[in-house]
Amino acid sequence: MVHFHNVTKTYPRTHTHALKGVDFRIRKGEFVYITGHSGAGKSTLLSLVLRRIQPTQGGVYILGQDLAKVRESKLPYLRRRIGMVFQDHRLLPNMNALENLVFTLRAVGERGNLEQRALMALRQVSLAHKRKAYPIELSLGEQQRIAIARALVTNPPLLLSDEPTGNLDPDTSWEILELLNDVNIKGTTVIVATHSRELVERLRRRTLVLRNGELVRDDEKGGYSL
Amino acid sequence: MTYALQQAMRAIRGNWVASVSTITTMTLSLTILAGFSLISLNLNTVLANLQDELQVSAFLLDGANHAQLVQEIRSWPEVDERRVYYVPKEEALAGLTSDLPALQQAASLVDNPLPNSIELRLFDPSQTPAVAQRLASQPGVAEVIDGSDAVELFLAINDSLRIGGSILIVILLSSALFAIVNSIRAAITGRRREIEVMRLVGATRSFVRAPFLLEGLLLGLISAVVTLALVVPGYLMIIERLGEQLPFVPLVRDTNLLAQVAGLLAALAILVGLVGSAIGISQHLREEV
Repeated sequence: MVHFHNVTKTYPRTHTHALKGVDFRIRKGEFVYITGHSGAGKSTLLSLVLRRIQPTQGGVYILGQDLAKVRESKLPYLRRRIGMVFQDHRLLPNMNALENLVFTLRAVGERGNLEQRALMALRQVSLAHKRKAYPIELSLGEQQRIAIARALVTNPPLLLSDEPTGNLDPDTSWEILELLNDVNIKGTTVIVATHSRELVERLRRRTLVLRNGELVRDDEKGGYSL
Repeated sequence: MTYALQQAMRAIRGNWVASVSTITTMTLSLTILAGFSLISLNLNTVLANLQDELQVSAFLLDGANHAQLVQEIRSWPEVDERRVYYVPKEEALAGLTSDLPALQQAASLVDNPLPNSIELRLFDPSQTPAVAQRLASQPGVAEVIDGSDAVELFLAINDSLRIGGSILIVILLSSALFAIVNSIRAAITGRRREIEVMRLVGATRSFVRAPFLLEGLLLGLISAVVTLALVVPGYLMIIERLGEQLPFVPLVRDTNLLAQVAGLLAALAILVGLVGSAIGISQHLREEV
């Protein structure tokens, strides 16, 4: 599903070595945490999965494709198979919850009853009753749930989540994590980048620990230890 | 397509100050372009008319062999052989007194002061100076008169207008182009968040770009419509008034020709809109690696 082969990423302008020789595989259906302090390389790793950036050395293979060989014009079709959830949710403020999801479906060229599909995704995160609400009218936890629904509305086999609970209180964070776990149980591979010790300890799953760009631990049993 | 059109309309409404500014700049440029085109078109018509009327007259010395001269002139390739006439001085005087009857009494008091002459027309009036020079060197020819001075003056005016107009139009269209680029930049900035989401969820490049291209196209189209709404009635009014005051001046009234000018103007406006938005997109909507 996701394979990093000896990946190094250096940002030439700042001469920062964001990742150094990172090597791991994530199998289909796994739930994996990427942990580490700020600047450890978590976001760089997710950006490489999305091919927002390319590695300086090594290879990144996503859903069976060598990203170095994916042409620019084919990149959108790859990204349609990867759902992405951000810490700041990135919902469009001028659209209500349902419209945010419909917008995503339309952007990827889906046809048919888009509202029905969007509503189904909202039901999946238990927020169908908030479909007319604009982001500003929702709590942070609800906004994040809508963002997860948006990431899931295209039924991607892989879901990436970058600090999904960064702005949330512990109870809401746990709800979000439970939601991501449900998504995983239904078959979607989930990768969560987080520095939250509580989350990683509470729901123990395979954990990759990054320190200064190096993969220092790959623990199948999980737990937070830097 | 509907979505892209909706987004383009939304962007035009949302950034209405930039949109109005762009439309004004483009309308101004297109109106001046239309004005120059119509003036040039009319000058060309006047010029063509003038050239068509242009004739060369050779005044002959008494005793010149006019028959031989006429035969010689008819053999020249620049000369329309069907339009070479010998005009005896009696006929010339009769023509003059017919046109100006006041001279009739005076003419009867003196000998005929007019010389015999040969009148001719050329296929291509631009050859007039060369033919006039050759004609003057013929035996028996006293003087040659042609209307090339007037034609040269018109040509010079037309050329100056064309060069000056072209420079002005390039400057104005460039400013219109930059105005479009600016509008597109404002639209891209206003929708940066949306664009980012579109890219991340896997929207194709054409899906992301289409609204901005359509926005440029619409701005061009609106400018063209406003320009034509100003220029067409304005031109019709001007030629009506000029036609009353200068009935002898041939003005362009051919609706097909005017429709072609309008079509070209609209096409140019749309092209400028599309090129402007393409530049705006390429500068401000660079894809990530």
